[in-house]
Amino acid sequence: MFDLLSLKILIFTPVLAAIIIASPLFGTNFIYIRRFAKTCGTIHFLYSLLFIVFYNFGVESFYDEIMIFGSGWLEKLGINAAFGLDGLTVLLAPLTSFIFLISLIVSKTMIRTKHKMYYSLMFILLSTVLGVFCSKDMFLFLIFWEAELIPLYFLISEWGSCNCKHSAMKYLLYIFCGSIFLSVAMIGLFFYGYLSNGELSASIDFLRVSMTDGIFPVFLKKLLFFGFFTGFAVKLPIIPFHIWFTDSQSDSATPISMVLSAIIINTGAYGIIRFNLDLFPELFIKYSPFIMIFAVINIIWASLAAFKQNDIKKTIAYYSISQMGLFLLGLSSLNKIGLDGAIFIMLSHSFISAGLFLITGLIYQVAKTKTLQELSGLGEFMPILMLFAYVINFAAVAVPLTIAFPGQLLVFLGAFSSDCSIEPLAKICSFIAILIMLLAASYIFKLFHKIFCTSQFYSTKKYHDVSGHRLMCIAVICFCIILFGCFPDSLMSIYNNFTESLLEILRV
Amino acid sequence: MDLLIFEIKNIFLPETIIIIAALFNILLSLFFGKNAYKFSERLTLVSIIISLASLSFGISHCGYTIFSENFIQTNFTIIMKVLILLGAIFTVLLSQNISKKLKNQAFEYHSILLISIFASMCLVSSNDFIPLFISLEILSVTSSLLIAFWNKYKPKEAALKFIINSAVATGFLLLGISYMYGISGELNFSLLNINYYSQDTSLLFGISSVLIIIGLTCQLGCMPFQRFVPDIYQGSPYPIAAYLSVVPKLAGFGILARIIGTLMYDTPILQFVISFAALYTIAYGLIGGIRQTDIKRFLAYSSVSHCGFMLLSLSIFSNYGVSSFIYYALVYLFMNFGVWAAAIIFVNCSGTDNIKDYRGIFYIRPYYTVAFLICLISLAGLPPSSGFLSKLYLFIALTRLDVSGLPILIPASLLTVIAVFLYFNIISLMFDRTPKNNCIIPAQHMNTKIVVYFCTLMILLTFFFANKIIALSMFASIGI
Repeated sequence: MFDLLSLKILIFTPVLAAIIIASPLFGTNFIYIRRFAKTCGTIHFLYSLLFIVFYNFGVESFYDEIMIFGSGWLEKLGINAAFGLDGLTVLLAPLTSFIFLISLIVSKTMIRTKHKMYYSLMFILLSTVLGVFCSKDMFLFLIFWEAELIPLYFLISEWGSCNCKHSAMKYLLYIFCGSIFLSVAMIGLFFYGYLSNGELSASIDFLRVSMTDGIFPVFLKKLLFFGFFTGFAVKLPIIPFHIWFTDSQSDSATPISMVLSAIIINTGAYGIIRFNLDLFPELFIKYSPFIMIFAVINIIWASLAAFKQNDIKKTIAYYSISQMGLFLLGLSSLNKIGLDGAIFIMLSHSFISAGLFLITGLIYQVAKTKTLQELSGLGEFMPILMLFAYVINFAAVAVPLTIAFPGQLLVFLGAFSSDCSIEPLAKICSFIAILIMLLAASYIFKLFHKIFCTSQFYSTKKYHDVSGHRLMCIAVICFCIILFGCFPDSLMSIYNNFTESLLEILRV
Repeated sequence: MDLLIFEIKNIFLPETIIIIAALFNILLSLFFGKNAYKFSERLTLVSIIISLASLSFGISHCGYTIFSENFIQTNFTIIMKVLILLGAIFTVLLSQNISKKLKNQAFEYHSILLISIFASMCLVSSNDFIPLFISLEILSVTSSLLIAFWNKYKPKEAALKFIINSAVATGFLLLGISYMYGISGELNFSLLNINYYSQDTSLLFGISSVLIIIGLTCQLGCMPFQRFVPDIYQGSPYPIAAYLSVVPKLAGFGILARIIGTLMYDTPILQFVISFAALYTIAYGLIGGIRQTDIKRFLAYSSVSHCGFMLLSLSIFSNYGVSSFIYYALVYLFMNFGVWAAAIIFVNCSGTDNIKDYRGIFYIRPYYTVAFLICLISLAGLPPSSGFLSKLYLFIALTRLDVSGLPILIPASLLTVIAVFLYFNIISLMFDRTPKNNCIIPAQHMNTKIVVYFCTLMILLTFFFANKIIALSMFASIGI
């Protein structure tokens, strides 16, 4: 539509910014580096908003392809560097950019060393995540998926606390194991696409067509489905594979925790929608009861584990995991309401977990601890922080007029009304999930009550309340939470077409 | 006579230039004084570059056999020779430091190096078992000479180990060749190909194939002979170890690919043997590398694992397999020389081999460490480096358009997880927050730096412009 709105620019300008930051241009003057980074982040966010503004509903717009010497990037192997946006990713891309901008702004006081490396790695990470969301080619997806490992490894290990080296290695190995499953499944899919159509192509649209040909042996199809699901389950994270997430969350610095829980998890959720649901609809229908059980296990386990955590960051990490369980529950209900709810949970969880981690980061900055026992009575000194914390807290337990409410409501409605193959399962699952989400309300309340409202017992030090850029960041997040809570339709109308097309695939 | 001139002029010119340069090096050592090592270096470098350029004369004569069918010129051999000569250029650039120490002996050193390169080139293009055997012998003798050039205990020990192992391997090779001769009465690949290809499925033929492969694996450092590789590399000086880890291996893999492509055919047993050897080699290299504290031993184990991957690509028995091998070999050349050159810079500055001393090097020399990092990431096989793409291409080729490759694909891809762990251990050391090592002074070795940065650049370029290279490798894999 517009030459100006190019996905290449959206994806690769952050790399350019990273190179400029890493070059000797700024010397060691970290103030300029930080300002430059924030400016770039702002421009990038505004630019990504243009994609929503000019998004052409209904048709897939913003297709873009990188040509090298007049041919596709790896045409010989059927791999093209093709990018595109659909109804879901047109929301996810600006969201990514927004969360990165917020975390770049709050890095001012939270990152005190190695500014040059930090900001350039953040921009490289932004570019890889956008690549994951935008790629229209299976192997290109894999490349961005694996390229994400390197900057995030350094971000966790270099600016973390305690055991961060260990956690970073854990993160790396877990996700790489998952991506091995992904790559084997992708290679299998690639060749069956070739066998059914006689054309080597890894384009997702092409594979969707060739999957319906029926040449696939059912056993192999199951194997591929399992491979994809395992790969994304590690990232999501689904319960047996969640150790990397809680560990790296508790050890990494606040801005990186925000990015990890708000964005990186979303890539896993996006992958399940993009590959498992989109390419294997009949298997997804067949296995939806199991996925539903997985989802409920996720919710129960995460909520119970969150109760016993001493580390407030770990508690919030378990909150993220339970939200992802809700996402899976909505997805496995396989009707319009449930799918709408699942996608809304993806979006709402980004805002809420970013807000929660930001608050823990701010608390850590003043109190120098993130152990729950040592924290109490901060509300006396920090009323403004307490106010915003309670707004996010209410959002986290899905109070109406906050962003989480529509998502959870839709998920539960969808799960109740789903025509799952095993009859009472869906109803039982959603009933359990509702009960457990009440539990979620209690642990989040318990956490904030202990931090803010009990009387202070250990220190007479005076704490300063939040102000300046920190106040602005948290206020913006709260504003978004309330705005989209009051007008959820503004988001839903954008991805409405996407869920419609998913349902069409499921009906066939 | 005319025929001989034609053959030399059009096909054998690169080898001729190399051997003339080697002889000149010996001759000139009589006339020049102690400080002429630079002259020797330049002479060697220029001759290698001229030889590289003269390869272009042969392009229009592909498929020709020369010297009564003893050598052959194909697209594949030309590409392998380009890789060998590139490796030779890197080696000469890297050995600047040691040739300075050698003074007048530098002529001798370079001539042995050139003869070794000559043998590698002959090995790749040999079309008969006799020239194959002779060039293999020259290659192993010159390799052990290069190791033993230093009058110290460790290099001598390493050279002895190498000689003994290659002698054992030669025994296997000779046995295999004699069986082959016993079945067919032929030693020439072309004749064997015409008479025996797709006819003989007897056990004896299979045994002789396996024996020939075992005989070649000593040069490759693959399965039965992988154990001595770390010892040898630890004993030899850095540039020689870098040379041994790439150039003779590429020559050995080249001839192995040609033997497999022309003589052997796709029997399940042979496939099983090769892929089992490959998987074992990969696992040995990766698991053995985890506990190493010496950078040379670490890199030796890493090169063993990569040779396993290259051997795996030869187990595919198709054009796809050879093409993926060529791409892997090209990438391996750059990433391995890059990482060895980075290690050379470090050892020249700090004087230690210990991996622990790399702690915190990023905060002292950031740009150097980033180049090192890119090489290591490429070795680990993560994007955006061509190490990822070469493994992906190998795995794609492994499936062979059906599920029969799956039992090999899955363990091979699971082993790459260990690779990531292995290389990120070093990387996490380099970025550690407490820099211990303060003895690093600015490196003065321009040539080594050139190699590091050039290799890093090429690792990225072969990723972004992989289409051309894969097209080229597919073209070269046809008439192997």
